[in-house]
Amino acid sequence: MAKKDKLQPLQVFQYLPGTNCKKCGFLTCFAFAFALIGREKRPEDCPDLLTEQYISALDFLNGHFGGDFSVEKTGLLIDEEKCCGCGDCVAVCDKCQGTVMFGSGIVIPRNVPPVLKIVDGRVRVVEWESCKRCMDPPEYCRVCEERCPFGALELVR
Amino acid sequence: MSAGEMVCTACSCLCDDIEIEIENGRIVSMEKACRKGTAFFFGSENERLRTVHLVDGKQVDTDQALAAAAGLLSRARRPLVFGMDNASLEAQRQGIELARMLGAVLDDSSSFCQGKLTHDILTGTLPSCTFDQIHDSDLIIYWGSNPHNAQPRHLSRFSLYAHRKYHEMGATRYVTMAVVDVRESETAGAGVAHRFFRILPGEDSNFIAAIIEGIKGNPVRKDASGFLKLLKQSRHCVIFAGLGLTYSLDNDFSLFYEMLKHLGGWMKTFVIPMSGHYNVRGFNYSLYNATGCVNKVNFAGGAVSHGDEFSLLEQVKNRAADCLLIVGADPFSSLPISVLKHLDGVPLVTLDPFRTATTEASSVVLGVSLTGLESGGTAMRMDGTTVTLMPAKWTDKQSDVQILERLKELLRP
Repeated sequence: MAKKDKLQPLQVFQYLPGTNCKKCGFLTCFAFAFALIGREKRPEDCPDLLTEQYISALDFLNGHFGGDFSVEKTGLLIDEEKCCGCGDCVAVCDKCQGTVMFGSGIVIPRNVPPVLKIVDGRVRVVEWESCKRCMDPPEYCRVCEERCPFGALELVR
Repeated sequence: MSAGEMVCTACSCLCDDIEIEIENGRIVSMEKACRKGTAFFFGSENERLRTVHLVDGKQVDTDQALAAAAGLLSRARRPLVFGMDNASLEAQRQGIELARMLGAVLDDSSSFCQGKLTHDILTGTLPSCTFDQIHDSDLIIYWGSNPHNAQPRHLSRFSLYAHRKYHEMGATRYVTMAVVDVRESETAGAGVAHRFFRILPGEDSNFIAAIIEGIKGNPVRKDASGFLKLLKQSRHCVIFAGLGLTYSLDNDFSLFYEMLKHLGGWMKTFVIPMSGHYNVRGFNYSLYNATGCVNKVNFAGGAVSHGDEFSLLEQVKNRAADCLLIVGADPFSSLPISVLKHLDGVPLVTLDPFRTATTEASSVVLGVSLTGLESGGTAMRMDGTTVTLMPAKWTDKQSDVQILERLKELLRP
């Protein structure tokens, strides 16, 4: 997701009631804001947001965190509408190199199965265990998200 | 189920690593193809989008359609053959021979696209290189083009990310990518381009003039001096010239060439035109080999003449053509209505695998197979490399080469 479109936890917190009622299961509203960004909770999980007073806030949060989605195990959220299958994420990913044949036919064969693959014009996570973020110890790699020109990839965790 | 590799003919990148799975004559999945290519080939499965042989809106068999097309073309006094950008090199050769036989005017979309640049590359006045030679470069410039929309896999397969010296985690940057555009496109956005130079629409000539002034040592505008600084750090540069540059300079590249000449003092510069249709470069090449011109050719009277008056736009505007043979092109979608209204009453013969606005307006439609998926051949990539297309699927439709050959036989005097 483009950086300008990405909501920060403090921005999300401003749309929440700020009562720290703990009905959502978190100790504070700020923790709930983090859970929303991580797609662990949905806006409806906050009972106060369902009241008439916060109807506009709920609409805003549903626009960002509502709808059908499935977060991959690597923490990657793929927006299939935005993805054009350009393969930039596959080309820059360390763990995918060797799966793309470049212009001059250079292929560096790797034994590691690739994380991402373009299937039917859209990017898919095919082998989450190969991702640097799922290794032990995990590595803070966000290269696929940063290089996506359409903002179709978002790392939520 | 059969699985194999094929070449995508949706754009001029001609990606030849597409993995396709076909079961019972239908495409099941495609790997590595971008959304554009996937939509193109999955769309070909939909029978409603495909053409059949039609004469005046009625479905006929191949012989009747060919007879009707031959009748229209033989009766025409000033026929015009247009298109062939979405046809294989073999079909283009047949089309050129057919145009020569008819004494027709022959033109393609490069007359209002990248024809000038391709002509200069073919004549040797403009240095160009293939995608393989990009590995020697240290600067890649996209000027007036947005490959993420038009050629989605251009960066990941051929230019920046495929560069031998590109390393995502490298501390030193050995290859730089710059974009010159009028708007912050996907390619120019943060995260992709290293440098972005935003200019006003139509300002390219001023920008180039400022760079030339800068090379001479005169004080120039701030963005031009930044661009010049980038050029001075480089020794080998590849410029991908898009339609934005061509339209902004109005096909007059003298200033651009002067800039390249000045840059030749310390660096090598190569230009690759960003073509749209998959075989535009091939058509220019075929016609250049046959006649010495890349487009806008008149074969009337057995001689070859070339001039701006033989472009599709001029021919249509002046109502010079009395019958059009359109091969794999859709001028009704790409040309303005002010030009198209002059085509009222002109019979059109169209060869196309898909139903388009042009086929709807045609008197005779010849439904052909889809080159790349259903029929093979050879095509030329935007950098001038010849790529072999292998059919991945069986069809009962005839290819454009076969149809053009039969049309030629029927019209042979």
